[in-house]
Amino acid sequence: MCYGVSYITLSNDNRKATLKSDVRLLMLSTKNLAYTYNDTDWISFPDMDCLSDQRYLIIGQSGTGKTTLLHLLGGLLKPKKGSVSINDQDLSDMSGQALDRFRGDNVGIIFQQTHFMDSLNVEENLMIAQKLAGHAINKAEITTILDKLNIGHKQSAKTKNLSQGEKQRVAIARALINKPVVILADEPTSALDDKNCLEVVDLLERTADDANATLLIVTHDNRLIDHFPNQIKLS
Amino acid sequence: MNLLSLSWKNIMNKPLNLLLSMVLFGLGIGLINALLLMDHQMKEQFDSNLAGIDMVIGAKGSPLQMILCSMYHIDNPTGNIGVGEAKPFLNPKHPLIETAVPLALGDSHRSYRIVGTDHSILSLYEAQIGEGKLWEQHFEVTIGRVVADETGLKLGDRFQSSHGFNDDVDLLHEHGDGFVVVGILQPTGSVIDQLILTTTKSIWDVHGHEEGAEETHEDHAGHDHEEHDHEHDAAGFHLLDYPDEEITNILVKFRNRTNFQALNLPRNINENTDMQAASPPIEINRLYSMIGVGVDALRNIAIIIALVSAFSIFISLFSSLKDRKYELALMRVMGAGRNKLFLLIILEGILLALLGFIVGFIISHIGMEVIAHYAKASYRYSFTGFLFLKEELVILAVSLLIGVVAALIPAFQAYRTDIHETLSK
Repeated sequence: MCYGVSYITLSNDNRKATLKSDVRLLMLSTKNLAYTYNDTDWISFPDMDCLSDQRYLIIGQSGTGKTTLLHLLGGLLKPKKGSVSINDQDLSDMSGQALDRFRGDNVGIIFQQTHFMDSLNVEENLMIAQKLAGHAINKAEITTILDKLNIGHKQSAKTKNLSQGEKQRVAIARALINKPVVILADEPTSALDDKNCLEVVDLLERTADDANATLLIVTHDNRLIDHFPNQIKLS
Repeated sequence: MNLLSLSWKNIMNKPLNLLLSMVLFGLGIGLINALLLMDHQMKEQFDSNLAGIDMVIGAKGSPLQMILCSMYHIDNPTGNIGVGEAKPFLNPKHPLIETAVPLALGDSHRSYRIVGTDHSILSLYEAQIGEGKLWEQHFEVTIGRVVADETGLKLGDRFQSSHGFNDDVDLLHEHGDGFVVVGILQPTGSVIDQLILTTTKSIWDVHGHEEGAEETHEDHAGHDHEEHDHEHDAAGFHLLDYPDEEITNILVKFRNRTNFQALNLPRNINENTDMQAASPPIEINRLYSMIGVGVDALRNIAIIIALVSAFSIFISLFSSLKDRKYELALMRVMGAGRNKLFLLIILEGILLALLGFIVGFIISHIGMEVIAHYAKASYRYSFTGFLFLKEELVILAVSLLIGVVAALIPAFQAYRTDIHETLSK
């Protein structure tokens, strides 16, 4: 169960527009969610109601289904039981094409391993993210977000030439470029030392704040526990 | 940034794969295209020089050689025939023959053949005088446009002929003041542009001197040679008055080419005389079929190369999928549907094929231009690499189709990308 203030629901069209207000919306919810890879061993997940502008930590040891949950929440995996709703849209009601488009428009995902289009530079990687989500390419927005993440000077660099820290920032920029209502981060700090761990957490919180997005971090990194009052424990 | 530009950047991101595919595909397509250009231009050249000629008469030997020598001027004569023997076919009142053009060959100037003939040859090639006048007197010549352009000969220029068809100073005839240029023909695009035309008797006279013959024509009425003076009036010259002399060939146009007797005339000549007659279309078709064997073999090799290159495009795309599985999964995460992934790989296949086609196109046209250079030097035939055929668009379409087919399986693999499985690893 997510912990937080009470929430209200709004019609789908008004949600993104209303995010700037002080009203907190129900952005992501799950009910009776469960998954199995072999039809015998089931992983069941707690019900969640996550609000806009809130931060959540999903913690658990290896093998507890953290990544599976993240993929279910992001619509990368279809639930075998239960449902996932984002922005009042039940993901299981959507066909493949519509789900892909919805995900591109509403969900930003930051993976543990940073992967990019190797043939493109930083700016182009963000441009293709805009294009594939069905948005118009907006170079000004790309410049703004890269500047906010202090990697504006790497706009024309090939992603393979970036340091690990820079790659992570570009991955964050890419996840945020389409102003998603939900940001999912998979083990963003597991490979980082304490200093960089805090820096990345701070960065994620700030950028989620700027975007008024719901932030869910999936991790087994205990260093993050004190930073996030809203926690979902998987066992 | 769209799928096309992403495809372009993806293939450019693997320069070695790109180079291999382009070189292989370019070689296959280049060879096919070069064969197409060569075949087209050869047929065009041969067809344009058929000039409505229905039959060629000459000495017995290879009929194809005779045709190549007398009509295309790219082979040696099979021999000579006596004017007396050929007399019936030179008779303007022959019931089956509309035009009979005598040719006396054997000499050249800087590899351009000197042809002893009469003005009727002009009607065969629809040639008209451009500068000066037609040859009238013995040792006067009217030259084709190409001869004028390539040798620099102008009106009033004089030159000595060489024996044979090669440019060899050791074979130069020493004969008085030699030939004088009195006219230049307008360009026709046919073989006459490459000929030096003069009277038949001029050819005889040159050879008469070379062989030390004491003016062998003295007996002929009205022809009293005056000590190497060839400025004498040739207006009274009649070929049939010299039955003991020889010519090389007669180019014949029938009055009615569907006439049964006319169609049988070559067979009659071959069976009943010491001469041979050949039909140009038949011999040229025979030539096409002989060349065709080699062309077909080359074309098959080219097709095999194209197929191998298609396979290289397939391998290139298929192997790159392994490296790019995260990219493809990410595209799905960012909102791309399966169809877009399929289309992306197909576009990459098309672009690889297109680049290969462009390389092949350039190779074939440059190659053709190089061949044209040698063909012109060796055979005086003007091929060109700057000819663009509609059939090349068909080759382009087939190339793109090969690109699509080669990309189908990799594209289907991309279509089936499992985001969860890929990104969980």
